Amino acid sequence: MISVLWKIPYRKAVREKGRSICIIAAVFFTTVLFVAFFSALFFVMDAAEEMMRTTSPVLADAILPVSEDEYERISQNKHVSETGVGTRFAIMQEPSGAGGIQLFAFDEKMAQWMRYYPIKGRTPKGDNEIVVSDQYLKECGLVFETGRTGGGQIVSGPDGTCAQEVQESDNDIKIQTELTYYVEDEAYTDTFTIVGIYEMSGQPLHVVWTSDAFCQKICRQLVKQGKNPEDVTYRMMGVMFSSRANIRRLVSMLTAEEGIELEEGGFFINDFSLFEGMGIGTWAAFLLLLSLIMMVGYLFISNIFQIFAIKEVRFYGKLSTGGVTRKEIKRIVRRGNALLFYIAVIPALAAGYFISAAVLPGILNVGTTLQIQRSGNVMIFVMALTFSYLTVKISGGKTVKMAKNASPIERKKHIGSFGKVRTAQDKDCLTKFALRSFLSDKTKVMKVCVSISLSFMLASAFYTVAEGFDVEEYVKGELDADYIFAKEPVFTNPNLNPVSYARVSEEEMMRYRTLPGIKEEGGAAMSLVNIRLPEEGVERFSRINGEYDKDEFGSSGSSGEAWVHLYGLDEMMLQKLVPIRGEIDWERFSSGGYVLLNPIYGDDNIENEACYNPGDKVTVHFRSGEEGEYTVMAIVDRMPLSLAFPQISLEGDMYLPMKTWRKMEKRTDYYLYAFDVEAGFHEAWDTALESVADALKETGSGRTAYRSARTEAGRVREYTDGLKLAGFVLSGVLLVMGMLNFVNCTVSGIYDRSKELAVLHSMGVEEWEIRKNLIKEGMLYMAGGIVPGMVLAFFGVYFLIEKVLAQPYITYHSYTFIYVLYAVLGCVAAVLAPWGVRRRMELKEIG
Amino acid sequence: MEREIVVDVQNVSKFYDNPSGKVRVLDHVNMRIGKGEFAAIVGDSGSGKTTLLNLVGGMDSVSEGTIHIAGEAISDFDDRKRTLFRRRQVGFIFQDYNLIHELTVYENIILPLQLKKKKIVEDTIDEYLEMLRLKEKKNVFPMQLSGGEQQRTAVLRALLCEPDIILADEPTGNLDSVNTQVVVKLLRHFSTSMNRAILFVTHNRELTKCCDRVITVKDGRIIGG
Repeated sequence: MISVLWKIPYRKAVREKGRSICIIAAVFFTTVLFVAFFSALFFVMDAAEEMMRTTSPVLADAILPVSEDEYERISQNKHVSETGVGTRFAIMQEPSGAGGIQLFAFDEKMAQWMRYYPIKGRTPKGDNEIVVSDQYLKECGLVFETGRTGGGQIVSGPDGTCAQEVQESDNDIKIQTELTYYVEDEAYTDTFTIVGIYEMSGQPLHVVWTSDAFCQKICRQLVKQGKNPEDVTYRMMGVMFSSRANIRRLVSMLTAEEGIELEEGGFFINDFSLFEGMGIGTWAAFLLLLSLIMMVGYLFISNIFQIFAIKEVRFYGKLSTGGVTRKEIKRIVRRGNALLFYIAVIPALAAGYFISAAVLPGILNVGTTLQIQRSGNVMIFVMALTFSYLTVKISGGKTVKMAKNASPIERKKHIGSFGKVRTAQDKDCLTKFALRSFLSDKTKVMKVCVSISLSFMLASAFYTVAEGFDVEEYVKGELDADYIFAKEPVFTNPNLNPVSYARVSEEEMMRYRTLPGIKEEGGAAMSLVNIRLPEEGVERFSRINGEYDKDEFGSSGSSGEAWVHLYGLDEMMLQKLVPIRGEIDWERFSSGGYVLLNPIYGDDNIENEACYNPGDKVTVHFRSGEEGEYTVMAIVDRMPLSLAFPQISLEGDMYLPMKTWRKMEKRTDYYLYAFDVEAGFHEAWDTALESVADALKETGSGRTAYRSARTEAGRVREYTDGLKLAGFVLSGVLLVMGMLNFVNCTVSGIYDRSKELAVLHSMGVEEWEIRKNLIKEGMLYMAGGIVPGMVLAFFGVYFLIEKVLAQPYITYHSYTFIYVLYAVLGCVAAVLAPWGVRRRMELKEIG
Repeated sequence: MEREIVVDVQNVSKFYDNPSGKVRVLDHVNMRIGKGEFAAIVGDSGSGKTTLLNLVGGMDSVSEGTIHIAGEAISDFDDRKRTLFRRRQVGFIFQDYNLIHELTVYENIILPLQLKKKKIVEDTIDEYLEMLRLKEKKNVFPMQLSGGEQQRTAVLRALLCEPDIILADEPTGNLDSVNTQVVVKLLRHFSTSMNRAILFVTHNRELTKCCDRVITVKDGRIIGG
């Protein structure tokens, strides 16, 4: 390009300040919008990933079973930034008898990643020093109380192996205890000193953390016995990668590079990526919203470009006359646009981020359990910059085309085509002038009308859904009791270990029983038990869920063993079960000897087939070692979600009366306890509950969480309020954009036709008549936007609520005030915009 | 024959304020035009011809003096009265036609009739369209017409509402010689047949041969005619 031409875009930008400021403002506003959108997106994603991370049972990127040699090789791999290791060498039984505890020697890093790092006390260093879980202490009958001073009290656990001596200092734990543990089926008993306690909160394994010295001692014993410690111990390695981009791919690369074969199910990958969990619906919603913002930006920016392009057509025509090629003209226009873009976008990115960081967390935290905070994710700026640039580029496309096609000969007025016209003698020509001006650029009209229509539809949809949302009805469907108590992981961790989860004790529930107004109460317990499926059951399961892996569980003739969830339910809970096949005689059921069973879990099980039929006998092997035979009384529907254990058995869960379950499992704990409270006492409960929960927390019993109708209703109300707010913000933005576009169209239309309007004035058309005509045009814009929006909203929102959402807790109502509001706003804009422009033109002339 | 005076300009001056001081465009101009008179105003560029035309047509206000059109002192009118005056009594023809691009030929022509709430006689309009060779272009937009056709449309627009005076500012300035002759003849014809005063500004002294009077303006003063 000739250097003189290069100066044109810069000089135009400086000389035509009004134009430059308008374009800069448009780009600024659009970029702020993009920054807000991507900030919201990344704030939420970062918060969700953080929540996934903190609730994940493991903090390392991956946990892999390895040999010593493999451990050394992986530690040196270039993809790996950090490693930790743990060695299991023995097992023992939980004091309650419910399950097993594995004895592990960890390094500190691995202990932290596996969440076994002590919250009280310290890590094990000496030979017989150990760190145990708070649940272990509880099962021993020990409660570690902070601030307790003085001497100790000797307390024995169920098998007489625990003893306790409490020291003075809070953080200095030294509890002597005897443990019986098994190394390759051989039992050993040793005295250990508990020096630290970790919190049981959803870890995959219940573990006692020993010192490395003790593990080495065991290994030396094995060697003396002529055994290879590698065959007896199980080493697992925690890995943190340098990059978090795709953990699964990194694990594959790592194992391929180091020649390690991993068995399916034998390793754990901590993939926090939200993208993998996003379905088509989520992606569609995301892309729709992004397109909406781009369209809004496009509407705004392209119109401003066009206003000025129309005026500059002659200028570009002159360039063409002087021999400047189309390509060069295109580059001049693009450079001018780019210059203004970069001037606007940098401060917009900064301003957009500051506004988003200040405002968005507060808005987004409404109606979500995520703790959303601002995050400085650089992708916010990259994405906002990219989309803003794309929007400007697309918006300027038409302008570039107009400029490069400007004729050097004629001054062509860009007013579009009119098509065929039928002249009617009796129609007012001024009205026709208004109508044809309105229709002259259909694209501009579409931009304004679509924007306003969409705004109305969104406002109507969001408001109608939010207002029609019956919170009480929704909560009734969500919660199956007034107050439901459990340890927090039961509510929040869908992968909760069915054996070693944190439990709620009778003593904890005693505190709640002192609260007034209890109508009904009951608890649910759960254990993982072993049953043998009959051949028919296996066949049914295979048909519904695919081949049943009999070999996995060991085969006994033609039937397969299965580990299923066995519930022990109090009467209140039992009453929640709904029979599908067979009838429940509660009196007979409570006497013992009977069990209830769920159908096989599977999408294809429309006939509700179960592994057993009513009348069949099932032998249950309890974890306590007891065995019982029960008759299936009925096939029942699943436990209500709000009361059920987070995990399910694909073969179908089973249910016993609590008395029977406790007798067989020899346990008295619950995973969940619920109360129904008389009306009028809810407020007292809500007030009292917080202080009770805090007190329980302090005793080291872990976090007892609860769900209540009130808290759920509050949460849902926050959500619906957030929904309304989001809807109004979005529709408000669209409305502002539509109105601004309308104002742009009006301004450009009036200035573009200033000569024609002057001709009319010269022919004796008074100023008020001219303004009346311009208002008619404005009304056409508003009608074109609001009327279709109203019609579509009226039917669309009804369809959305009644047919698409179709929920009993959302009902359709028509809210006239939105219609009236938009109609009034439309009329005001239609009158004020042309009036204001003409007034300004008048003042300029007077000036 | 004594014509009835329809345009009476008495001692009219017009000046504009400039950063460098007052610019006198017209200086104590006196002029009288009778009904049915076909007069041309000639002069060099910047002599004040168009300003004089604009003042007579009520497009601008005088700085000094008076202008009477058909007995009405338009120099005393405010902007609104001047607008209504233009609607009722003046027909304008511009050098660059100034047709309304959103209206067809027919609609451009009848617009002043609608503004004056006059009855539209289709046959008369069709006759004139035929005469001006615009009948086939009746439903066509100005962008689709040639310069000559646009100017003929503008002429018809100015004439059909039968104003007291018709003012034309360089009506043939953008036309070729053939169309120039056509337009001038047309104006002459209408002046005679409708007995209307037509005052037109031109550079082209050749066109003044068919005029009843030629008014020469120089440096803001009338020096001849």
